[in-house]
Parts: sequence; structure tokens; C-alpha cells
Amino acid sequence: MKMRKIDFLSFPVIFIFFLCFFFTLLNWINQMANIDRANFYVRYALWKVNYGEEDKAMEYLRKATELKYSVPEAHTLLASFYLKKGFVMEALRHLKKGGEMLPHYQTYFLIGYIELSLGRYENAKRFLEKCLKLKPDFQQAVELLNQLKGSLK
Amino acid sequence: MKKVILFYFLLTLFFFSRSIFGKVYLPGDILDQGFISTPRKWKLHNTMIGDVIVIFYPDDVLYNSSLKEGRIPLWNPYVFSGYPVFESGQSAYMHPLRLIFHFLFDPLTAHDLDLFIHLFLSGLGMFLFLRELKVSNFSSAFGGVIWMFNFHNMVWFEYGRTVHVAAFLPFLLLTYERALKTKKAIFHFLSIIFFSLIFFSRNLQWSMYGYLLFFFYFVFKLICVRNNPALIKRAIFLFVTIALLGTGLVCIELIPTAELLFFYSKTQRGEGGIGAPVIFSIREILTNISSFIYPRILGSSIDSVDLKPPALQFESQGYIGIIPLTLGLLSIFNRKVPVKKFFAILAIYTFFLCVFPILNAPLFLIIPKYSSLPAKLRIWFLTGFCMSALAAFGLDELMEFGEAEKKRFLKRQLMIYSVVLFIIISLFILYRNNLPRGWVSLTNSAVTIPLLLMGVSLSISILYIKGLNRSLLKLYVMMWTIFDLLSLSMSFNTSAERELFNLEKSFIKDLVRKTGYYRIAGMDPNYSTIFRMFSPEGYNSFYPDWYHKAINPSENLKVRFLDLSPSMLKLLGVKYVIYHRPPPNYRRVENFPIPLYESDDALPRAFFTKNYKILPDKEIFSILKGDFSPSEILLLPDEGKRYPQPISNDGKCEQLEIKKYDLHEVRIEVNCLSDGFIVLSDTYYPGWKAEIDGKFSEIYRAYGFLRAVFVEKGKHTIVFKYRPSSLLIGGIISGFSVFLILIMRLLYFLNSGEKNENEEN
Repeated sequence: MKMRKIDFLSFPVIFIFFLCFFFTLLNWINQMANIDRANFYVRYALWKVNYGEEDKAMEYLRKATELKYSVPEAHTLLASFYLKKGFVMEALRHLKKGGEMLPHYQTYFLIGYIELSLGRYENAKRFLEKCLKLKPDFQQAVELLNQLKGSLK
Repeated sequence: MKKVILFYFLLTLFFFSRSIFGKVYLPGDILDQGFISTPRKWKLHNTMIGDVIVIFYPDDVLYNSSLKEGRIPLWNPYVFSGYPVFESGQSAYMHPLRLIFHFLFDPLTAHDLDLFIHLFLSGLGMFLFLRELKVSNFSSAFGGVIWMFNFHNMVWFEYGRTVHVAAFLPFLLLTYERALKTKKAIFHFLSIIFFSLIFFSRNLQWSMYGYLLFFFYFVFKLICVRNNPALIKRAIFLFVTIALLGTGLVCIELIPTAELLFFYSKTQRGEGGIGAPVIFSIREILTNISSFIYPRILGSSIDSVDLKPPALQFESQGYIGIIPLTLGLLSIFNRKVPVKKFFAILAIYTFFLCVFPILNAPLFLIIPKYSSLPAKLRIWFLTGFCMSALAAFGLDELMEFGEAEKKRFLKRQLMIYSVVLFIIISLFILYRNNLPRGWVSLTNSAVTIPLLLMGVSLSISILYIKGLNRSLLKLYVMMWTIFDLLSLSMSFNTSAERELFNLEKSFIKDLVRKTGYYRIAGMDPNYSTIFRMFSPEGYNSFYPDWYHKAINPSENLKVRFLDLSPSMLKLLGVKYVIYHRPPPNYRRVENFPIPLYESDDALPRAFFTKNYKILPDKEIFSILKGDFSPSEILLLPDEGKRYPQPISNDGKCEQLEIKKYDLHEVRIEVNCLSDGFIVLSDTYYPGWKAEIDGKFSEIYRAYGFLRAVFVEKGKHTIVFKYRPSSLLIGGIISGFSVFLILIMRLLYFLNSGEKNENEEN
């Protein structure tokens, strides 16, 4: 095969793309490994809940949330445990994180509800509106928002 | 040719590299989901392929051990209180390669070998078919790679469904083409064999798509040879004989499958679950198309989120790689070779069938039951085939381009990528409320990889315009296609350590011994097959209607412990339950490493009952839902049948013992002090025959879904044998087909002899 200038030039071009692809792939593999681990912790936590070991379950969920790439379920589940134990601010933090990772109407509704109970009406309104954007016919949110708007007036 | 074989072999080997290092291509991590073991530090990688481990692996374990005992399992007594596993349409127990592998190796090795060979064959078959269509060596090899690793093939890979069809479909078209051109008998016979092999795909839907393509190809051939009456006759003769004899060969499995399909739960279909229409909005149409562009754009089962609607998450997968997609699309616009037109029309048609399901309507008229297929989007399989071929044609055309054509190619490429980007951006706008924070960023591989692939594709085209060597161009195209498709395929297909499948724990042996003929519930459905414990639970696409109606499960395809009423638990002899909470009327078995509960109410597997009542099915099932003691009175369905009336109606059964319990035979010895019915709490199925003291006896549908026979007082031996007539009829037809094939071979031989004589004269 007779090589020309353009053929030689193609090597660095393709190599640069290859490097980009390689590092993206590495990042993806790392991400997948993290997600797998997070899923494992969530599964293990649910397993513990079945046997009434809630503290152990929380420990595993905390581990899942501390990973670089986690899954939204880890945050929302952990939030529900914090709520049960009365740690509202911690619950709110994890709910917000879970909502960022996977916007879900129920998560937003819960955030709105907690914000409302904390007296932060503007925040509550914002999250309830977000909730209704995802599920406009979610009756509980509609009612709560109407109630909130009424009290804000 | 040797080089190509080596290339495909090495490529397949690379894909299976994890198997070489002791893993197996099965999502073994899902085994942990059952209550039988505690989760260990294994990854749960891709939950979407759960059925592989929940349905197919247990079936294969039973198949493997039965083959080693010298028989093919027809009945699985461990799930659904007895299930015609051979007839399930998903067992592929008659697949010749599976028969050999499972006979020689353990289930895990056999599974991997089966996938390995079929993956290799799919590449090789496509290569040979494309060569037959006069595509160059390199482009044919390229087409083979796309067909092997196209994403529709790969998401279903571990199921063995798509790859079984993918392996033999190109060979069928190739041998048909050769038989038409050369008139050699060998190709005719081979095409019959390949036609029949396509049937054993483990799923009738993909087999049907294979046959559909074959039919379309036949029509295309008829159009091609329309001016030559002799060739028209030959094309029709070949098609008809291949289809008839090929179907005849598979009747041994087809007829029993048809039998179960006939008896399978009409209630399931009636509720709309399986035949539910797929309704699409603009958002869903674009989502569907996105899987053709890059399957992870909106997340996937291996990403942290999957934003696609559930109906599209797995079914809608038409990705063939960015570069092959470009070449395939551009090939449609280029020189109009007839065979290319055929693939282009079919690719476009199947693409629109997926995107606008309403277009499936004409197929409802042609193909029986097509309207009730669960996922019509699976026709992406054919789009993948056509696009793989078109991409190979496209690469060949690219090699022959002059300067002007190269520039036109680049323009069209830019146009295609603009459309692709427009769709991606539209999707991001449509999903703006649902997208996780940071999703649309260059650090997200789901977004970066397609952009990178489009970038590299454009760069290669620009370099080509500037005079890049053709050999280097081919190398880059092949290399990037392999990177693209393999990175996706390998990440979706999860593998697990073999150690994970070793479930032989001491307490399981104790449990198996403890349960005996009693049933156990609470494990993940079908795991009971692995442990050889009897269970009323089960999970499969088809099971008899009466079992479904009797239990009325909350999930159509799954029967679980929680679906069973207390009377049903009693009747089915569910003495043991593994559950995290104590079920009512069950007490914890002390000193057992898992939460095992035991009941004293469970009836034995076979029991005697004197009195009976005839009621419509519906009433029987509603009685079984309530508080009812099944041992007191037998409920028989009102089918207009006359049931025997016990004459000596007092007394009981002194001895009632199961002497033999085998997959296909149950022997019970009884000594009854009065006439009455012996109920075997196994699912009723027409394939079961009963003999009392060697004489035929009718089996009644006890409680609407179990088996019972009438015995007169005295000592008797009752034998239940599984001898399905459907299998016998199917076997006879298959045998007759073999006979016809031999006759045809003889005719070919005589004909060729005559021809030689004529030529000599």
C-alpha cells in the first residue's frame, strides 16, 4: 500500500478521536460500576427492611448515596427513613438530590409538602408546580397548591 | 474464506472474553433476588434481562439433567403445580445444537457454547449471503459484523432468541438463492434444514419474522424472474417445498406448542395485557426513533435512569451503529440495484411499522394472531437485517465514488447528522422536565459517544475527499463500527461468576428432603425447578387457562405465593413457605438458616375423597377463593359430562401412597374401603393419561384444574402417564417429512441420472 501525506495525517486525527472515545468509555465503565454498586446497596437495604433492620438498611443506603454515581432510589429511600426518624432537613436534602437525579412528581410533591410544613411557602410553591408539570392531574398537589396560593394571598 | 472465518471467530471470541476468564453469559446476579439466598457482593447489572435467569435458566437445568438421563423433558412438575414445558414455545428443546451441547456439557457451558456458535454463524452467514449478492469481500465482512452485533440482536442475546434466528436466516436466503441459480439438490435440502432451524429460536415471534423475510425475498425473486416461466416455476417449487417440508420437520415441537397456545389463558388475553395496543404520541414516536440513533440517549437499563416509556425500554431497539446507519441510508439514495431496492423498501416499511404501529394492520389480515403479539416493535429485527445489508452495499459504493460523488456523499452525510441532531435536541426539549440534572453534558457518555461517532464519521469522509487511501478508509470504517457496536453490546450483556450458580447449600438439601411431595412457595417463581422442589408458583408467557382462572394472579404471567388463597394453599399441598413475614396458619421452622414456615393443614399430594359436587368453573374458582375445606368434597366442573356415582359410599382409603413420581409418570397404590375419587393435586392437562390396574381410566378436572380418577373399592395401582397426542401427531408428521425429503432426494438423483444419460446420448 502506497502511503500519501493525507494517509499519515489521518493517523493523528483518528488517534485523537480514539483517545476521546477511550476516556469516555473509561468514564462510562466507572459510572456503570458505581451504579451497579449503588443498586447492590439499595437491594441489600431493602432486604434488611424486610427483616426489620432499618438501621442497617440506612447504613447501606448512605453508602449508596456517597458513591460518585448513584441511583435516585438510594436518595429517596434514605429520605423516607430520615423522615420516619424525624430528621426532616436530612430527608429534604436527599429528596432534593433524588429529584435532581430523576425528576419525579412524587418526590417533588413530598419536597413541596415538607417545605410547606417548614413554613417556606415560596419553595413549597416552586416544588408543587414542578410536580404538576410532571403530572398535571395529581389531585393532592393541585389541592395543596390551591391551599398554599390562598394562604399566600 | 479462511481469513473471514478466523476474523469472525476472533471477534466472537473477543466478545466472549469474559467466558474465557471463567464467567458465563447469564445474569447470575439476578439469582440473588430470590429469598433462598442472601444478597452477596455481586452486581445487579441489567435487570431488564431477568427472564433469562427466571425462566430459561431453570428450564435449561431441567433439560440438561434430563438429557443426561437419556430423555427430553416434556413436563415440568416443579412449577405451576405442573407445566408442559416442552410445549411452552420457549424451550427449544429440539434444537439440534442445544441437544448436543446440553447432552455433553453442564448447563452453563452449554448455554455459552450455544450462544457462541450462533453468534459466529450469524456473522458468517451474512457474509456468505452478501457475497452471493456480489458484494465485495470486505464489505460483506462488514455487513456480517453489523448483523452480529446490531443492537436488537444484542439486547435479546442472552435469551438466545434473536441470535438463533440471526444465525440461520442468512443461510436460508443464501441456500434458496443458490438452489434457484444452480439447481443443485444439496442447496434445496440445506434450505429446508435452515428453515426448520429458524423455528427453534426460543420465541415464535422472531421465527415468524425470519419466515416473513423469507416470504418477502421469495416474492422479490418472483418479480426478478418474471420474464422466465421456467424460473418462476422453480422459484415457486423451491419456496413451497422448503416451507412445507421445513414446517413438517418442526411439527414435533410445533404441534405441541400449538396445543398449549390453544389452551393457554384466554383470560390473560381478554384482560388486554398481552394484546394491549401500543398508542404513540409525538414524544413516543421520537423516543422510538431515538433508539435507532443511539439507544442510550434517554437512559437505559444500565444507566442510572431510563426515561423511555416501559413499552419502549426493551422492545424498541433498532440501532446498527452510527457509521453503518449513515452508509445504509446513503446507499438507499444511490445506484438502484434490484436487490438493494428490495432491502431498502423492506427497511423503510419495517421502520415505519415500528414507528407508526397502525401500519401493522395489513399484517393482521395475513398472519393469524399477529394482532395479539405482545410487542410489534420487535420487527426492528428485520430492519436490522436490511440495514446491515444496505450498509455493506453502501461501503462498496463508497469505494467506487469519484470526486463529485464523494462531495455529494459528504453533503448528504451532513444532512443526515443535522436531522439526527435535530431529533436529539427535540427529545431533550420534550423531556426537559424529566431529564436528570447534568444529563445533557459532555461528561455523560450517553450523549458524548454518539457525538464522537458522528464526528469521527465526518472526519473520515473529509479525509476521503482529500484523497485518503481506500484501504485505510475501510479499516477505519470497520474499526469504528466494531468499537461502537461492541462497547454497547458488551455493556448490556451481563456475565456472572460460575460460582454464583452453585446453589448446592446444605440447608437446601435438607429443605428438599423435608418437603418431599409437599409443595413449597415463596421463592422467585421457577427457581423451584433448579432445586427440584414442587411449587404452585411459576412464571411463563403461556400456561393453561384453567390454572390462570383458578388462581387469578395479580400479574398475568406470574403466579406467586401471595396470589394463593388459604384454601388453595391447602388444596395444592403447600406445606412450606419461605417468606420474610409469618403467613397466616404457618409456624416458623426452628433452627433453619432461612425464614421457613410450615403448616399442618396442607393436604397430601394425592388424597381420597368420596363426595363430589358438580358446579360451573366460575363457581368452583370462587369457592376456592373463600374459606373452604377441599378434602371434604370434590368439586367437578359442569361440562355436560356424566361422572361415576360411588356405590359403596362409606369408608375411607386405608392405604394411599405415591410409589413413583417421575417427570412423565406418577404411580400411586391405593387400598380403598369404598368407591371414590383419587385426587392428584397436579395441574390437569390433556396429555396426561391414566391407567388403573393396567386399564385406561378417564382423568377428571378436579376443582376445575387438577387431576382426579375414579376408583372402586379395593386395592389398585393407578398410573398417570404423560403421553401427549400432540407430540405423537407432531412426531409422525416430522417423520413423514423426513421420508418425503428422502423421496425427493431420490427423485433428484434419478433426474440427474436421466439428464446425464440424455447428455451422453
